[in-house]
Amino acid sequence: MIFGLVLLASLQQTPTFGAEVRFVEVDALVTRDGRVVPGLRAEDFELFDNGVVQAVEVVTGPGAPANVLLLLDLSESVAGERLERLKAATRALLRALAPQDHATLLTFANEIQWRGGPTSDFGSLEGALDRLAAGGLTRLHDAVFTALFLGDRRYGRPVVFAFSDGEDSGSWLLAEQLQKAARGADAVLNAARLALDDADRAYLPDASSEYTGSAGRVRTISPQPQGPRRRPSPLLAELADLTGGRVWAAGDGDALKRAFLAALDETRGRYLLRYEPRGVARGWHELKVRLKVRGELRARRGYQD
Amino acid sequence: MRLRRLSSRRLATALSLLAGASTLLSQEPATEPPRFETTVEAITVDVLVLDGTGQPVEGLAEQDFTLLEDGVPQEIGAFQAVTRPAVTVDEDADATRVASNAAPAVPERWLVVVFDEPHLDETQARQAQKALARFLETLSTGDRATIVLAGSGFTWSAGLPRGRSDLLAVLRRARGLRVPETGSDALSDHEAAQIHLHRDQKIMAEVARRYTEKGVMVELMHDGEGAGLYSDLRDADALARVRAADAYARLKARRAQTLEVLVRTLESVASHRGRKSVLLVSSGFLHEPGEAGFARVEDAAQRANAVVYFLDARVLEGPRTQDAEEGVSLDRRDVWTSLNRSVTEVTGAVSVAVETGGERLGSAAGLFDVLQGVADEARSYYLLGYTPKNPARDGRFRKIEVRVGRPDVKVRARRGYRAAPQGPSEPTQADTLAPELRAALASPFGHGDVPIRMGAYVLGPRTGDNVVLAIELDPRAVRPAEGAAAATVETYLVVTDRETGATRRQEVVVEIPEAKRALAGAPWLSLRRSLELPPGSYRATFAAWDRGSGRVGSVVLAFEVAEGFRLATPVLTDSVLAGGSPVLTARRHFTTGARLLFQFEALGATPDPATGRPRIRAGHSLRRTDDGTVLARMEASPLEPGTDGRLARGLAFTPSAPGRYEVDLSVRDDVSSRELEWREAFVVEGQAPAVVAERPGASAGARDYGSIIALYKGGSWSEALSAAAALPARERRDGARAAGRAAEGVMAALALHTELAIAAGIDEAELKTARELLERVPAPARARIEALWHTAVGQRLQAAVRLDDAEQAYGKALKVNPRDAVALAALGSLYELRLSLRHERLGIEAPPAWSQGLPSFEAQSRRAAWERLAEEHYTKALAADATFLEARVRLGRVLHVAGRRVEAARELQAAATAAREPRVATLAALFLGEVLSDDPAQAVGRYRSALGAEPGFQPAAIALANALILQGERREAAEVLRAQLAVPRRDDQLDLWTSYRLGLVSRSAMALLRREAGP
Repeated sequence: MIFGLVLLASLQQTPTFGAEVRFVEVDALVTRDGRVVPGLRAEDFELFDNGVVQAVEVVTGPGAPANVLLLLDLSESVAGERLERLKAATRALLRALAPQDHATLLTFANEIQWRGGPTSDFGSLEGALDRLAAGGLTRLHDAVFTALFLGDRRYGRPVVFAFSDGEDSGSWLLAEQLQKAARGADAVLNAARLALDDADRAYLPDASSEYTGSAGRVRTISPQPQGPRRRPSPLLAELADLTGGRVWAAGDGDALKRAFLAALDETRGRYLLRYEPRGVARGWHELKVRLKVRGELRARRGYQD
Repeated sequence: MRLRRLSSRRLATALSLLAGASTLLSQEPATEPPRFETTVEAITVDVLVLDGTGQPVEGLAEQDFTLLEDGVPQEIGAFQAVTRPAVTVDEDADATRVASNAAPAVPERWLVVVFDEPHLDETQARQAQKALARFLETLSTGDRATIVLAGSGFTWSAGLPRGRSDLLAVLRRARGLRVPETGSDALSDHEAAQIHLHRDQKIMAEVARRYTEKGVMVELMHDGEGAGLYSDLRDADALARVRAADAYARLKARRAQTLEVLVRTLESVASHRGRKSVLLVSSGFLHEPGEAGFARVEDAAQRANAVVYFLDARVLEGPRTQDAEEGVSLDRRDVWTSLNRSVTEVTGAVSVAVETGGERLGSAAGLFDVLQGVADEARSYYLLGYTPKNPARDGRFRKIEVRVGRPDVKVRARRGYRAAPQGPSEPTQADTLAPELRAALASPFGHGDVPIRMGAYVLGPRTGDNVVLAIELDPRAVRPAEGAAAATVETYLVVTDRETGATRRQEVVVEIPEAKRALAGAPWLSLRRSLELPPGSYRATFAAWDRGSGRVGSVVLAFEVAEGFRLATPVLTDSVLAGGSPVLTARRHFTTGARLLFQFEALGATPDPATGRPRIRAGHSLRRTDDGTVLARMEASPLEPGTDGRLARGLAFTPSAPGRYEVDLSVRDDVSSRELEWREAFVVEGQAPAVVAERPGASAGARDYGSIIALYKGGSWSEALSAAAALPARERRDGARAAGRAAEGVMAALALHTELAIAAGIDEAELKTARELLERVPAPARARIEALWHTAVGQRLQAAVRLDDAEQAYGKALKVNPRDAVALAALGSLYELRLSLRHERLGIEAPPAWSQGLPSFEAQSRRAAWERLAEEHYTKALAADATFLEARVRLGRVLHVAGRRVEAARELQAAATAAREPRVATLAALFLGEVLSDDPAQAVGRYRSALGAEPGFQPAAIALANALILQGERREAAEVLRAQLAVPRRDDQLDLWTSYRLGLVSRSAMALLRREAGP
């Protein structure tokens, strides 16, 4: 979602000098039977802003350039095999990017570190990836906050791919501060979790492969782990749901890599809708986007202005 | 030993050779290289034998080979089968700062790139730069690369990964020198050659037609300049001929330059055995059979056993239309010529590649395979040496054929060589410089007949030159000329600026008396060369030529002269002059039992605006790299200026076992928030000396211990700690007991052993020794010292999140001194830490309910208790010492967390107003912003202040960005975040926020203990 100011003259046939309009952009993923539905037009969508129907236009459809912000957890618990798995998954994602895409690499532990980008020279990011080492706390809140607001729209619609295997420790921002800020964020958040041992399995979702709650949906790609289970901390799922993204939980093997690639596929399949809000006041806007054709739709839940 | 200057003529020759020479950063030996006696007539042939699957055939003997020259069998005089292990990567080799030519390790994967600037335009050059830069990123540790810029002949070689930045910097210097002709009278190289050389009527007619249709003649007649230049031309044909002659002269000059650089490059790699690959990055040039340069390149490639690959830069840039290049539409009548042109204008480059066994590469993607293929072939090959039966010096090409008496094998060897010409040689460089010396100077890996080592020391701005090159030469490798009493060695030093290519030179003749040289076990000759160099990156090439034996040796080393906050090159040595100054060495190999001195100095530190003095902290660790054992570690501690104002520190240690070691040094400027790291790797060889502890009594150990205590008392804490850590534990304990008996040493010993105990965790044995020493502290001071001591231990335990143990230690401190401000504040910070820890997965005590919704009643009670205890202890600390501003900041923070905003703001404002230290000012401003968060404008101002005091402080940037977002200023928020991420950070050092949260109060009890130990 984005708030923009454009001269009305540029949008309308009849120029109205000096007047400005605000517009809102919304990412929407449309799938049918698990596949992205291409070729939809504005009239296929129906968008309500705080219950008021809005006139939307489709800015871009599936296949638009992606501006990917990779956010990797390098805290102590990631050291060793997990780090290698994370690097492999990230490398796979970078190699799956198209030449017109851009990527930025951020890491976090005790501090958030910029490792390169935005760039289309993905090889340079792979080089940076090779040099990463893990150690320190998990400043997750601060890192997600940074990634959500860092994306530069000149490089395409910002999409955050966050990886973390733990809970926040050491952030300046509290969870509620991050949640509040994220309402005004421009980027879509996709988050992945890695789980390898019993301690981690406690954080995987319950036996049913998906659970849906106010926090949104968690998809488990790997075979279901055994042992005690508990619902994961809902923050990332809530943020993903708020911004129109997903949380992916990945267990053993190449699941993390598959999660990253699946998230990238979804990113590519998104529509960017735009409308000029009419008949609504400033504040929190609850969004509802409906499809007039058969399919499932995922879009952000709202925005703050 | 007598020194005198060389003639400038010889040096000029050396310099011109060096334009094509290459350097290498590190040359640790891998294996003893094959040695062949070098004579003028001797020919060496590298032979690769492949089986049916393309794999090298090993295990062949001399009798398996037959060598023919022009069909005549030759007698193989020297034979060696070379088999090298798979890629051996010695990362530590890159961590040393000295170069040696003892046994140059030619890397398996070594790519020599000739960047053909004369044949690239700017666009092509940029594309080629990008492609090569990407390729350089893929090279791994142990790989080597050489870049030759053909426009200037400038050459740079380096090993990966350390030399990557240098190579990329050289690559960035590359330019496209070819200016595409875009005028209406433009001629392509193909057209120019066809018209000028072959009087091609068809092409001439096409060009004349073009000129006429474009009105070139009309323009010329009416243009003032053209009218003068071409006044005698009557038609377009004539103009085409004149322009063709002109264009041909230029293309010939460009091509000659490229071929000459190729020849020089190939010659420079010839002295190294094995196959090499040279990559010519070019948009190509015309082939011309009669051009001598082509034959010379082919000959040089065969002598060097090198293959040239041609990377076609026209492909790298993507399809470029003729229109774009010529600036005009392509007439359909010119299409055929244009197609011809695209083929013929690269025939020269393709010919060079094909004739040397290489090929044209359409993209950089195939480079790695090429490189790996050459590496694979270099693993197993044979060297055959012979003296030709045909002694004629006729300058003719001699064909070589090698046969192997095995079925189904493929033999790859050079196809021949060109014999030396008859009569006196041309007046070339060979007349002014011995051929062996030329080869040594041109060698990118150093030349090994005279063993030489070199180390570069970039020193501080003291009197004299800022760079000293320490050079060591093995005198046994040289000998006096017949009847002379001394060996005479000509030495050449050339230092090249990486950016400008400018060189500085020194040439000195050294005479080594025979009596000194022939001594059994004579030490290596130590030479020093001093230079004053501005900041930049440099390559030093040192060559020595022994007049008596004709032997030569050379060594090359790259180094950097930094500016701003930096380290003088640390000195690692086992020799100290009588006056105590360390001897600069070119070695990183020492013997067991030798006492090593590691001395470093920080330069360019920023003075603290408040005090005018720099604030530098330095820490280090000594590690055995063989097994990772940390032998000594010193956490970052202030680097105090010495009496001469230098920010230097010396560490002494005595490695007791052979192996590989490294010192890791970390230096931080707290004023500018800049950090430096240095890793010095070295090797300890030989047998361990007799164990000191076995000597009767402990007198020797005690004497050593005594000098360590003296060092510690004198403020050389790091050196003392390193030396103490290197002592056997028993000696340390005995020494401590002796010190405890002598009242004047007890405080230093107590501080030393406490520091040893907490240096890397808690060492119980050292802690026990320290406790015993504590009992020896004289009564009047004991309570105060004991409180300090317990607090120091508690602070270390708290940093390790052993909170119960830390609380006990603080309790003991406060029992003996209830008004100890440091102990009170430390205990307050411990309760604050308990408050902030909320994540049970960290394995540290935190209320489990915190992350699961509303805290339970029990958790709420506990939290309230910790808030109260933290407030109480900070208040007491301030009552004991009202100037303890960090305690006031912490009190303010705790009050805010407890919801007492007005009181919190009062304390934080008071601290912010009085704060002088950036740490305190930053924290006060940050927390004040938090307290004032209901007023976004006020909060933003405070957060900006926090960032101003500590620009790299991430929580302040996050807080500021968040406040801006809440105000709707998303763009500025993004800028704040971007600026913050641009601040360089270190993975291995605690940032201020983490340090605050862990309760590491700025007043360190250990630092106070140290002060107590002072003189």
